[in-house]
Amino acid sequence: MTPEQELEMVQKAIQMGRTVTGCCEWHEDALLRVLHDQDLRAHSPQKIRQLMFDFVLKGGTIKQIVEKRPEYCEFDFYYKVIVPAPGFPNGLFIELRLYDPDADCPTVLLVNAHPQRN
Amino acid sequence: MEPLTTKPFPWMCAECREKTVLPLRREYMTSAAHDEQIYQLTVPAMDVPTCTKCGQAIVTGDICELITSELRRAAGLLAPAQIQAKRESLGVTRAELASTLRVAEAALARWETGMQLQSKATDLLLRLYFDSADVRQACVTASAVTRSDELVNNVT
Repeated sequence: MTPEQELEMVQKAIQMGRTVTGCCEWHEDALLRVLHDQDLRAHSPQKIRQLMFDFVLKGGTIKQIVEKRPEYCEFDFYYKVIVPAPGFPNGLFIELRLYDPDADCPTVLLVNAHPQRN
Repeated sequence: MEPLTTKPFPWMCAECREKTVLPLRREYMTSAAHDEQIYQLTVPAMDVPTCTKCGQAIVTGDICELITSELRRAAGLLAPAQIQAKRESLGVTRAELASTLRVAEAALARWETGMQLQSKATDLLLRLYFDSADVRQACVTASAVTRSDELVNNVT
């Protein structure tokens, strides 16, 4: 799969995630971090995901980044979305990974979210 | 729009990287922080997509909703629908209530839609406002005084 094809698959998973359970969900470890992150100012995980859906469906950018961290070497890329959100001057940073490259029904998981720093 | 269908199982496990995730009827336990306090949460038994090999779960939107509800219950917070219903029963608009309580209308909207959990102090203020005519009157008076002070400051 080319990088372009993988990015298309991530976009498809996010778009399907609004209507198909299992296409765009929270990684369990990431959810626990988010539930304890006071910097997120009590924004609920499902609403963070909803903000991302809205942003991407309106044409917001999903950035494909080459994975260089040794602990994630099994992945070629990770994906980041910076969603404008009230109360977060630089937006909300959301990190995703493609876990299931199923052509018909791909799956991405949200693996991190926090206020975007400068 | 809420999810209408479910991706066929088995799903890919995020840890094992194999298609070993199946729905397992069980309680879901986790923890969450709110207002500097940690809460241990147990979501009642439901179908949790769980890896049959390693036990890792994939947390769907439904489960997230229930976790947030449980956190709200554990912290003793009004639910979003309760805030909206109590406000509407008093015939107060969002803008009016936000102005009276000196909070941003957008923040009130987030509490009413469940986007964000209100702080416990704010929750107490909301409860007092909704339940006591004296508190409502005091809030309106205090807001009027503040606005008049602002006007004087702007003129001078």
